Amino acid sequence: MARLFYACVLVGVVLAVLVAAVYPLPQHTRYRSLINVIPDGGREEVFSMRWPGDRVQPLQSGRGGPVGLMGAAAVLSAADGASASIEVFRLRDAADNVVGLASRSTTSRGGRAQGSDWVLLVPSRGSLFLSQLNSRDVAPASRAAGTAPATAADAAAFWGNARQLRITAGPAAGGAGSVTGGTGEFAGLTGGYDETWDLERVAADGTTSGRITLTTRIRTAP
Amino acid sequence: MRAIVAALGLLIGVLLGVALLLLNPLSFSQGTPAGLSGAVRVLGWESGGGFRGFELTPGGLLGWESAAGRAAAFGDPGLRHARVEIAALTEDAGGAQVLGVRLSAIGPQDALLQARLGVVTAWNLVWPGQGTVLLAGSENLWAPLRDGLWSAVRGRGFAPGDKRYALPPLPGSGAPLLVAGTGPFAGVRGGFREDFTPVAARPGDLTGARQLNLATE
Repeated sequence: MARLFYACVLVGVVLAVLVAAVYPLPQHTRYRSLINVIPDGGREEVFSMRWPGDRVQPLQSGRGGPVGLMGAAAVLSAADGASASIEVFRLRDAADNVVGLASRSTTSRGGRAQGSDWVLLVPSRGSLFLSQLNSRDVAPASRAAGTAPATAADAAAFWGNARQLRITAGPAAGGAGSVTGGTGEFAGLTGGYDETWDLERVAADGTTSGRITLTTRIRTAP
Repeated sequence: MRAIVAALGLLIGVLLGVALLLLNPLSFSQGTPAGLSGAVRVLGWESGGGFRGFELTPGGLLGWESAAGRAAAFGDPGLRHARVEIAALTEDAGGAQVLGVRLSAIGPQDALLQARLGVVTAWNLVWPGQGTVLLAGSENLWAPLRDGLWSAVRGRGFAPGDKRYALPPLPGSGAPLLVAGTGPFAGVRGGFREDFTPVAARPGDLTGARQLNLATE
């Protein structure tokens, strides 16, 4: 009887270890990377987000502490009146698959220059970090009398007669933004990128819809 | 009688096996948190502001979804194990408020036999009107999971205790790094580490009360 007991104990131990070995831990869905090779070296990869459909709002109203909401953006104001905002989107690849998450922060950077940082997280591949100066004020605000504060893209008044805007204005050569680093498959890469906004529709109530495109041109850091 | 002895032996064996896994020697050898050098800024934040994505709980890390978890989770297949939260962080020195967004995903190399269960993270911290930093890292949540399960085995529910866990990076993921910065952080090098303190009112919540230690050289 004792032999049976100890044998079963051993079987139990082996069973537990086996289950741990074969337990199906979460795996990320991976889509084929859509990358173009650039003739003078490096590679180009295009990511995009639609507004308002791809916006993600993690903050629950009234639960963000000092962080407030202005339209789709989370906003924090400092005592000196300066403010910072963050927007979050589902991130799409060139084939329109949702491949990850993107966050965009905006604030003035000492003096009057306004800039934005992008963090792109593609769970199956890694993270890519981008930084830029902005060509115009894209912080959430009221852009027309009597309208509620909203992110720039959402406000018809922001667009005027334009249908496409290049938001990136440096700091890299040619007014491109900088790819500042990455992890996973994006580790050790450097380069530039452009952020452009395309207005697709203005509804009768003044709301807009369109697409934000990030065109990255990256190569292995020397 | 033989069946009862066999069942008892099997049960004890399974419990022993689970204990062996939890006390996996690897979890101690790879549990060293990232060392920080240079000036360290301490930024505190807590869960509760709201998030979207998978729940940062033992079940969430293992791929289980509660009813509340299903409501917060993304429906897109590519985002099933991704998470985003926005937080106001408070600096210990001076009490300045910092706006932060934390994107995370379940570690692609997680393995129970290797005491590796955690997330990869990407932070963007913004000091309004001053500058920003971009951080890339990972955290292995094995130690609080181990202590929480041990507490559960003793019938006290999942309660890792009230000690502060300095979370080590996932093995093979490298040390958590300050990737880039702007304003006063432009050109600055550094690293960071997150500390986790369980909150008694939210058992199983592995966000809890956090401390982000940002070291700059």
